[in-house]
Amino acid sequence: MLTLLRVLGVAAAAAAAAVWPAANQPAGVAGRAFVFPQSLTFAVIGDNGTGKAPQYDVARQMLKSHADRPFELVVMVGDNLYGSQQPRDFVDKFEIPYGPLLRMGIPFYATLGNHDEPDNRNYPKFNMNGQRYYSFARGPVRFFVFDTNFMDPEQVKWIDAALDSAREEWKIAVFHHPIYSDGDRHGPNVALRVVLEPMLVSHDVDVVFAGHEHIYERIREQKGIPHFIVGSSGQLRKGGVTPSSDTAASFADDNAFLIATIDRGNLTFQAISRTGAVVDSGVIRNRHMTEN
Amino acid sequence: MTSTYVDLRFTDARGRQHLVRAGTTDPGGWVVEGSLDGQPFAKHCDSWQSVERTMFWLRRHAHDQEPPRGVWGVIAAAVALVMVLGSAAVARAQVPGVQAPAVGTFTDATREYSLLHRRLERTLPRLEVTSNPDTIQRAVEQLGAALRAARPDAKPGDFFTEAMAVELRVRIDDALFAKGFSPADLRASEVADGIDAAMAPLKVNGRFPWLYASAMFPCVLQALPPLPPELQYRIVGNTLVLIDVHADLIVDLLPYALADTER
Repeated sequence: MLTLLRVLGVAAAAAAAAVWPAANQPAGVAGRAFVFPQSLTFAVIGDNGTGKAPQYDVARQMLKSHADRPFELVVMVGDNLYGSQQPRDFVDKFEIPYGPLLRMGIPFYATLGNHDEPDNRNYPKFNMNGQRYYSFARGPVRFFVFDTNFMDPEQVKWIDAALDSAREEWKIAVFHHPIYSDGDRHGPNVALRVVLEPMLVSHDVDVVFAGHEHIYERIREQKGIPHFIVGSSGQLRKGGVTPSSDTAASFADDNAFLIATIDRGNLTFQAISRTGAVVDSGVIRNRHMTEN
Repeated sequence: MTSTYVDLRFTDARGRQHLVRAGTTDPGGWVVEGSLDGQPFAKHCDSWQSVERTMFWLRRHAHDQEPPRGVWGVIAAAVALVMVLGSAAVARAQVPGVQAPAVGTFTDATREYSLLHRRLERTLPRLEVTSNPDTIQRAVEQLGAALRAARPDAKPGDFFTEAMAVELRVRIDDALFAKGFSPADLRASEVADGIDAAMAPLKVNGRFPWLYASAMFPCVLQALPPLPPELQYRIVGNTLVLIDVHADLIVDLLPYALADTER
């Protein structure tokens, strides 16, 4: 019976994939098409590209975690390379530390941070396809990657249209500068919030991932959206967070990264430290999904 | 005796436009004339910078006072005060929020630049998505070199002309103020990013040092004229920089772009 159910599940997944190819969703379909039975596990890292020991340690920890909980892709929330960005730096600060994961064929999707040179969008291992902002879909999720260094009206228009036309069950926004933060260094980027948040809310974005602040923080739902800061996967501002009533969890004692699994209406996450300790975990329910 | 005048306009919180007129005086000064809270006023300024500071204060005053309806409306009429004009040529500034001539000239210039950029790009190996960062870097450097060669005499003010500079300073200030920010907020965000802007080597036709770049405030970007995709604005310290982001090239510089900057 169990086998039969599994077979039916696979068949349903294949049918769903055929109806809704992962990329280039057709526009103009009313409501979200909740027909994806697939799940997706992904990792999130940010402010990682130092080329120093903590980045390498986190990368090794990611590899260990992958063995327990295989992730299909890695989202980078920006500051992928610090300092010099000569060809050698792509090797030392990206290709070597994440080499084993890259060799497994796990794609990394990059966001431009304030330390990243815009030309890095042409580096194929960042999967930006030459674009400074873009979206991509995997299974039930569409990720929207913004360039918050230069949030010009053209990008704003694109974000509005892209969020509007997406039909995946989950919409996840990824950008470098957090619009909510209890980090001591930068704090929230209010100037960005006034532009972005209305679109995130009106288009039912489910989760936001940002970086910039060299800490890990999970912020309680703001206008219905939980925000994560994963900015300590290479850099670390030890103790650099002052939790507020908006803070759901924070960790600034050591470097960290995050693994999340989306399965139907749930996003299960674990924030993992450089030494492998689970420093935060939980489940986020998709409040936009209805039971089929 | 004024010989040249510049009309300076701004919009207050209620969306009303105000006009203040600055005219040159001998020797080398300016007189700013207009109407404040219904009363005509004239302020002598010893430099253009002082005129801009006066404008900054007037704009702030217009926002802060929330005057009774109609008082500021008087400004526009009152400033139609006949100014004693000499026979010299008249310089006119632009109207923030309105397509002023200088903005049109600027937009044309950036469009021409992007055509030049694309023409040169076609003669070079294309900057493609490539797994070899060396190739990316070489393509960027070659494009930068070609653009430098095509514009060997490029200098500050080629795009940010004097008239455009006034427009940009006013727009930046208005955009920040309208959202409750100040130039100090821009500088604070730069400091938080660990940037020592004073150390940034900024030179027209030089390579833009991305180490000194921080995010532009979206409200400022919304207020500045749109650019072709090859170009972006950044503010480094007090300087507005026009950058060719495909060639990492500084195309123009506007020092003291922030209204509270002392020159």
